[in-house]
Amino acid sequence: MMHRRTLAAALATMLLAAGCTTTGTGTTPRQDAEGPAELLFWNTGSDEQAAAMQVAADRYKELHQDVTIKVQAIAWDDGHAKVLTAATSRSGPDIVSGGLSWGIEFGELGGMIDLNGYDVSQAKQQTRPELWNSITSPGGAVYGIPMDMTLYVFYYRPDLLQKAGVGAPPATWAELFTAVDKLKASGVPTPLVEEWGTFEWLPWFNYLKQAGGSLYSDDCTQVTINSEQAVLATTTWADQYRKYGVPKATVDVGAGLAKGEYAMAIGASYLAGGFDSGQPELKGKWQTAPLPTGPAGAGSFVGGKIVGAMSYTEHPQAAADFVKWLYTDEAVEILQREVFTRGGELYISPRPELLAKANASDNLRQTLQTTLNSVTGPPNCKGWETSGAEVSKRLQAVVNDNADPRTALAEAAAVMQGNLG
Amino acid sequence: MTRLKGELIRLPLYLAGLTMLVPFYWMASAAFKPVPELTRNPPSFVPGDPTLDAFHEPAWDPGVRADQVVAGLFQRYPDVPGGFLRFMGNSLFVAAAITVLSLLVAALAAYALTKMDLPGRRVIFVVVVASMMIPWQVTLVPNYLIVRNLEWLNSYPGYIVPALAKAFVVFFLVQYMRSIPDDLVHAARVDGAGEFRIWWRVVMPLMRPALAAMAIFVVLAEWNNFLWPLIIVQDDTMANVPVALSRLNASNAFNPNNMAVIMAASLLTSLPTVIFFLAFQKHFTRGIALSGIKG
Repeated sequence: MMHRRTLAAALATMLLAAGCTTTGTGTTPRQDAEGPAELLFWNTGSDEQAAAMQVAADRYKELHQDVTIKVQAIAWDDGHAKVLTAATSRSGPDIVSGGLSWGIEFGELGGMIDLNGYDVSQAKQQTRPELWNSITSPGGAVYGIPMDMTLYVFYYRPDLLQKAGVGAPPATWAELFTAVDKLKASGVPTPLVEEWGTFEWLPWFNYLKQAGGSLYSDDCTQVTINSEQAVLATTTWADQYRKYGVPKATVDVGAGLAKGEYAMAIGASYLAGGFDSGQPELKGKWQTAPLPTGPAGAGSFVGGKIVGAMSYTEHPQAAADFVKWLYTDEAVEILQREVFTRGGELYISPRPELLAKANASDNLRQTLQTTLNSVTGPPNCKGWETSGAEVSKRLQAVVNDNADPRTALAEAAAVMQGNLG
Repeated sequence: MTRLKGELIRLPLYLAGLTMLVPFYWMASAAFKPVPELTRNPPSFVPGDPTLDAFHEPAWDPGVRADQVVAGLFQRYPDVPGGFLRFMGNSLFVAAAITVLSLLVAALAAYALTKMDLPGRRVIFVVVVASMMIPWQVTLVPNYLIVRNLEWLNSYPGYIVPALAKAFVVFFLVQYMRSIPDDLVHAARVDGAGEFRIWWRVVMPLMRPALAAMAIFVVLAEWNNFLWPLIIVQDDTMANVPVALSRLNASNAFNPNNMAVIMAASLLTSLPTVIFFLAFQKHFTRGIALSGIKG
């Protein structure tokens, strides 16, 4: 039986094809329908995140009596397929949030409004340029603005590191792999694990940035994945699995750290929220640090969500206003509080200066603040959405089939070039 | 001695059966475990302190953060009248409606193809059978666009109408109906009965075993239907159980504290099918034997 995700992916592809025949030019600002606006907001994420967003939406209603927003959660697993059906069929929610690349993808299909028509200059000013660049289409359209961020964090157990003779969290690649060897010798079965895109291009991207490489040139005209820096990054990334025993399958980081089976983990910032409540015995035993640096210095992928308005909404102005309002101090404060209260999660606003108010330990806040200085979002170049999985396959071949990194990257470059057009 | 030998020979089958029961038991037991027990290491096989918190957590307050306290299943979906029960009601209604209506439609088609002097009926039957070879995913997009143009998205007609034409049911009922003597139909016609009356009064009562077998398959398939509801449902109130369960699982799985709630929802979702199977086990096995379906 086909897996649900496979089915959803197949559906997405088919609808994409169907969408080509059903889309028009719906991205120009429309006149708002008269009367009070009732907006439906599909918030990709957990029920708790949707409930938190509903609190913000209710506050917005207090400030704008004629706008009512109903927030509904859609799961990450099915969200892409659902938004795609909405975008292509011109039917569904007025506002959506989802992956950083969704805005460009659905916007180019005609499913989302270009928010440039609604003056998002202030949001642009407040967001880190690397992140803003990721959500801006090559033509300059902004179909969705960043809503929250997910960063890579280095988690570790200080007690296990100390026991193994590692005085401080590793700050460089060399220190990282030395620590792995020492921890292994001290009896930690799996010293280092990886989470968030395990054994796919995402964690590899961190190494790429730390080595000084990139996927495309800044203007998206050239594929640059087959550089010497990328070869170094790929070799180092592959050695994690080949030499240092990093599991290729997704693992339960919290449980492993709690049991002492893992001592270090490179994972998403959202993990931090679940450690203490999910693994009470881990409380007070874990710390965080920025990812170890490579020859070119620090570098880390930043993910997260965009929020934007659908092109068929009858209330584009109201939808765009609410989207922009989510950048205000008040909205961010509500989301930081409610996301933590309801789900124990950390809400990282795209406005870095508000990180200081996030519900997190000083150590975690400092880690995130440092990490933010060296983040890069997913590329906004044409064809990356379809190239990502192919790139992962070529990278995996280096580990699974001992493929030469240069050959693998050349193949990946060919795929990316083909999709770039 | 012979009996013992027979039992020993069957032992691998018992063990294989056990492997199928264990996940079900694990789901059922986890639904009644308190949150701290969910993350206990080593895990407990029998809930040490059984609780209904996964269904309704008295200590939960949406405005107060508390470790290891999560909303129970029936405290979720505040905007959906009836909460999780609404999803179960949707599933029940849709599965029942599709089962009844699709069997009626298929039985009418089978009657026309076997008992009426319909021109080109062989060709029609071949076309119906041939349509079974088209993967249903291929028809997904056209069906979606039709439903959208009819403005049936997010509605019960959108759920039900596209599911009424079931080629396999027609095929199965045609095969079964062929075993009913034509003389019965001719005799009824001689007595002055119309075609609809013959179908309903003469043929349908004789079709009961086949209809029962097909009903079971259709009910189970529709109860578990996921992808079609996923794409046509745009509002929580119209979601069915698999869609709701998928969302619950996907959006809360990262937090082990939610596992009891997910298991409680899974338990409630699977219970009707288990009860249904146990009640109609005889027809189910007979249906498999009649249709030649293999697992």
